[in-house]
Amino acid sequence: MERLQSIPKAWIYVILVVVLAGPLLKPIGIPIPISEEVSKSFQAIDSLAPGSVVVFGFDYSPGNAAEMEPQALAILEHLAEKQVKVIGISFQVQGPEMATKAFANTSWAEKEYGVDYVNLGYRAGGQAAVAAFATDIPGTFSTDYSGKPSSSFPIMQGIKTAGDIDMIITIAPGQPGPEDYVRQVYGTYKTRIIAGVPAVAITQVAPYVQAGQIEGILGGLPGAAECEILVQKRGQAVAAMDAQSLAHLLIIVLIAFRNIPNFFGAKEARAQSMSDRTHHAGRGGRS
Amino acid sequence: MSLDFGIWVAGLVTLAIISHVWKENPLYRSAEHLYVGISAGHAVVVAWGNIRDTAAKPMQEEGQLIWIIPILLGVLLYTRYFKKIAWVARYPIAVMVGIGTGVAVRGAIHGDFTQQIAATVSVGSVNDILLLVFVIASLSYFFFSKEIKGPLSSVPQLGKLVLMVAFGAAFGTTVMGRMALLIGRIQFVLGDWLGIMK
Amino acid sequence: MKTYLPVLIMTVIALLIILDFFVADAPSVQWIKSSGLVLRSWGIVIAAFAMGLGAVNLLRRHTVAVSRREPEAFYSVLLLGSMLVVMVLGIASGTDNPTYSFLFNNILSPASATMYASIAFYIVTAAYRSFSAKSLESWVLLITAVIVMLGKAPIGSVISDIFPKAADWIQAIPNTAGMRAIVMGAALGVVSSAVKMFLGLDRTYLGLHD
Repeated sequence: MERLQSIPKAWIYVILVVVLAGPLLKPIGIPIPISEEVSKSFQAIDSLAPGSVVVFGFDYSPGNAAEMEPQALAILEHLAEKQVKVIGISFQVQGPEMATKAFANTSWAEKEYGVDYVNLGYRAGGQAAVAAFATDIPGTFSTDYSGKPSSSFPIMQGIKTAGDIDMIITIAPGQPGPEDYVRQVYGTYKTRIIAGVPAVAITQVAPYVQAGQIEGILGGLPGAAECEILVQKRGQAVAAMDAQSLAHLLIIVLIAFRNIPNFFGAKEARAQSMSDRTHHAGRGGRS
Repeated sequence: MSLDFGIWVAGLVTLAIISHVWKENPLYRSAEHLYVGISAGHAVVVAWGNIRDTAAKPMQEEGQLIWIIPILLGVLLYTRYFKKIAWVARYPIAVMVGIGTGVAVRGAIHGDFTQQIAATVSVGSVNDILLLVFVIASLSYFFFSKEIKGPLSSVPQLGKLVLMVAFGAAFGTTVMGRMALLIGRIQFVLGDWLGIMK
Repeated sequence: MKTYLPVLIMTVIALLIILDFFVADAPSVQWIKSSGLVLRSWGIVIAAFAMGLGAVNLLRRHTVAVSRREPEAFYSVLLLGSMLVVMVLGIASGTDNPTYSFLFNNILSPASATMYASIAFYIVTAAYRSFSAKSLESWVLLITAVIVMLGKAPIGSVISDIFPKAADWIQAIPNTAGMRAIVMGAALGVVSSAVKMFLGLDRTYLGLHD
């Protein structure tokens, strides 16, 4: 047991890489169930009528793209199929580049820029910029990412405030994120919000989901994988799921190595201290 | 194996950065400095685009001279680098903090407070009742003004356990997220770069 | 004057923006709505200028390192060189310039992604070395974490249906309750620190520590 408690760091690193790479090279095919959370988000997007206008917040960056991009791509495919219009915006400085890449790598590449979709780029200021966007979209995003006036695009006709938007979908690993859209947009306009969040933020957005401020979420890479299955475009996230499962098992096993001996050890120590107390009365045991 | 030059550069950068896990080395430091340089450069380019599109264009093309005010305030931020007039930077900072505070306060009152209370007290099922009890217990744990004694002292105790469950869940999802990011990199190396992934 | 005027400006602006949220669309208070709108758009411009401060700090630090020929000067040259190339390319020919995209997609992106990814190694060793449960609270935390890890990955439902269900319940009820208490507490914190700033009791944002 003691050996299991003192595995060298280097060995743990090697084990981790092997556990993750193994199922990527030779997939196991663990079935991926669809959670209620993801199917609710899927149905919300599915309820959009053709021609609806969706604001898509590309609020992620290359650093967290491994988790966020598969979510964005799967949702974008769904939106393309639904024939809705997509206004891409970003409150994350590297977000517009992610938008360019995402539009180019989905069915949106075949659609018409300015008519079916547009990439309005980034605006500085965090939550304050989200507030500015909510009350004045053409003023806040007066141009697209390349600097062309946004009023020149047919897709922007008739869009003034967040009240003119049918749904906001934000793929955001941090701040500004779905909470800021809730505070600045939902409070005033009650615009429907779907949020793609990294696994770390699933627990943080839960109060807003329960309150109905956020209609649905995709959580982390499993959320993306489920969405890929629902839109029938299996991609990077589905391919990663076996590795994800094994990684979780590995961590649980490692935590168990640390704690199972502890658990029994604690019992032994308690027994030991009890016997100490009987033998050396007055010295006191563990408190 | 990929024959794309860009993929090879990205692959080598990936190896250089990951080598830090083993030990700090010149390859890692070079890649790190390139990364910081490109990020900072990109931030400047995008910020410049924001100033050009949001303020400079309406001023030049539509004669909206009012934009001179935020531009001037923005320039004044840089007085902080000159000791004698560094205090001037307080004005743009005051404007920025004023906007940020105003936006944050109104957002917090509505989205994070009243709507959260409304969602907590609308009780219709056993789970709703549990949620209400757990929220009250957790809030009572944060009640520092006066120590809660007597029979009610078990309420903050329960709150503490509820918070531990929340933190445990957060730990679980954090592990989940970190693993996903590493899987993404391995997918890149084995798939896009080496081409040995199925 | 150098202190009070900025505090006054900050307070007036913040109150205007807060008021804007609460006033109706009546013509008599239209000026509050429109000034709120104008101020928020100014915020974007000033924030964009503020983004340049980071770059100036980097420039200053690394040009000093290069001019003093410090042992680490080589790295500073790399940083300054890449930063200037990106700035010139981006401003002169736009972000869709092929070299710009190459640098963004093949150096910045993999470097950033790998930095985030390498945290996985540390979290595994940290979990293994220090996640040692010794009290009721830490056992509660540990068991919840295990249930969530099993319930949130496909493997959980292979072992038993209980795991995804339990994980969903934990997320929806106790976690929501705990996080909600934190969110509400933070909201009160935002309001109270704003009041302190309005009263001039907190002026640290102006660089004044009193």
